[in-house]
Amino acid sequence: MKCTEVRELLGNYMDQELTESMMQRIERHLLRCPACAYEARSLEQARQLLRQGVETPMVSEQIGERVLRHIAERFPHLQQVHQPEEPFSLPLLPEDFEE
Amino acid sequence: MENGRESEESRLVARFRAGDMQAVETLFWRYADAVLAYATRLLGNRADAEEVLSEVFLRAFEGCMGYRAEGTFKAWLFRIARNCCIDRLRQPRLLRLEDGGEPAWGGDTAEIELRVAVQRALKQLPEEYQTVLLLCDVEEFTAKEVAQILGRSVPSVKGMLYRARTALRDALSEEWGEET
Repeated sequence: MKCTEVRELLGNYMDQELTESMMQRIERHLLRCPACAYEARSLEQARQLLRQGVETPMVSEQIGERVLRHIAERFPHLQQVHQPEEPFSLPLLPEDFEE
Repeated sequence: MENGRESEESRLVARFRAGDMQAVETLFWRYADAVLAYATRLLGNRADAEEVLSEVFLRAFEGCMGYRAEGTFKAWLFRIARNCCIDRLRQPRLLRLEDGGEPAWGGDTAEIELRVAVQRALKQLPEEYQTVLLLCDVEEFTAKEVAQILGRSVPSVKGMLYRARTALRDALSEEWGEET
């Protein structure tokens, strides 16, 4: 394979979106081409640093409740659906007791 | 699996339209952390991101009441999140909330240095590059989902992702004054 072909496929190679035989062809090229090997390794390192280095905040219960309250206010048709504590059944009518 | 999730979310959207608050809560808590994380990384500021979070879900549910674009609820939501963040970044600086100055991160010095370097490197990139990197490489969205969010074709997103990864590597190298 030529370097230009490898560079075009490097993104798919990183995401493992190529066939097994194509992955192997690229790996063989990387073993004997230091420039392409550097390209592949440095891009993968940058991706790992990005994953380790980004902040991963979580929504607090307080913020979540505030947003849900805004939504409930904006859409008056919304109703809280509560599960009944007792299984719901229709009241018995006199005819239910008739033989 | 993805189709199962899509049809389940279509049912949740239908329940929201019918007035079921529980469906709203399910959809909200499923994506709230991811939307907040994306907005925080793009805006570089958690306080702004928390303001945007509310706006994103309000707009998303407003959209669900009427016409909704093709694609998954998740892609729809992040498309709105991106637009809200861009609007926020365009606002005059005085209208945007400011951080206290001190990073709110825990961890040792090396971890904080890494986070600062990554944040600075990301900020040097065009917004579209930041978005493809954050969604594809951090949140692990598929190229198809990101294509729906950006309104681009899948090959165009893949090409952009490669250029964004190269730009990030170069920016990180500059941040550390050496090659990564």
